[in-house]
Amino acid sequence: MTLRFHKKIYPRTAVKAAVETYGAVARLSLRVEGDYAVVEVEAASPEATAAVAGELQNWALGQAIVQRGEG
Amino acid sequence: MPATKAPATRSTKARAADGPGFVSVHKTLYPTDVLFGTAFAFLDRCYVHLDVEDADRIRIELTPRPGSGMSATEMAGEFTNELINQALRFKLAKQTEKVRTMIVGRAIGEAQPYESMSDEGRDEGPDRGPDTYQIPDLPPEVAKLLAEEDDGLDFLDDPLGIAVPWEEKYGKKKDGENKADKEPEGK
Repeated sequence: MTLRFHKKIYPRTAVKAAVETYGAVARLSLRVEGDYAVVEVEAASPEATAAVAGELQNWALGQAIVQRGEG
Repeated sequence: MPATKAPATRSTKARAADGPGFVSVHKTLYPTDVLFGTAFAFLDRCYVHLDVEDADRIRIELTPRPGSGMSATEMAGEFTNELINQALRFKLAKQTEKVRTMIVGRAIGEAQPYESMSDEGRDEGPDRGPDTYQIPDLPPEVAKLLAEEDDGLDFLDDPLGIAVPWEEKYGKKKDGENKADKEPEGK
């Protein structure tokens, strides 16, 4: 599953933090494509992949909110 | 002449009954802080993803969590309602920021001990007395309201008698006889 995070909404550090957090439960890869940070998610099953992807999205959003408040 | 229909500034769509729901909002109506506040409120019941739709619009994708009990359309509708709530909060916070800062500044200023100030500091500024030393000026209407509250909030007053000890209220009669020592009749 591919997730795309726009740099105007999600700072790179927020996406990195999410990838580091969920790297232990799924295979994750992070790359940059233009204005987007692209994360590839692969877990043991399709259901697990969807769950990890959703939680990773939420975590990244939470980190983006925290960093916005600190900035 | 019939009124012309205003162009839609946002749209709420649901792709499928069990798929994600989408909300598209214009940034001038809902600033990023409002969007983030709304999205944060929904993290416990759905997966939230924000994306840039174009220069003026942001698209929010909402995927209900398993067991949330809500469809994507319902979730999108709830999100839209919460956007209005957060936008109002944001607006009120901006409107009252200056007054709140002044009130807090005054409260902190009044809490400072007068003895800790230097002699040079005491001579500076207008002579307002020790209780109001170096307190930022408040708007006249706010200062008047606070002064009226100060007059009415004397903590020593106890109109309902709540602070009166039980013994004092019920333990002794006016003639000095203690109810607890009263001998039962017949003995």
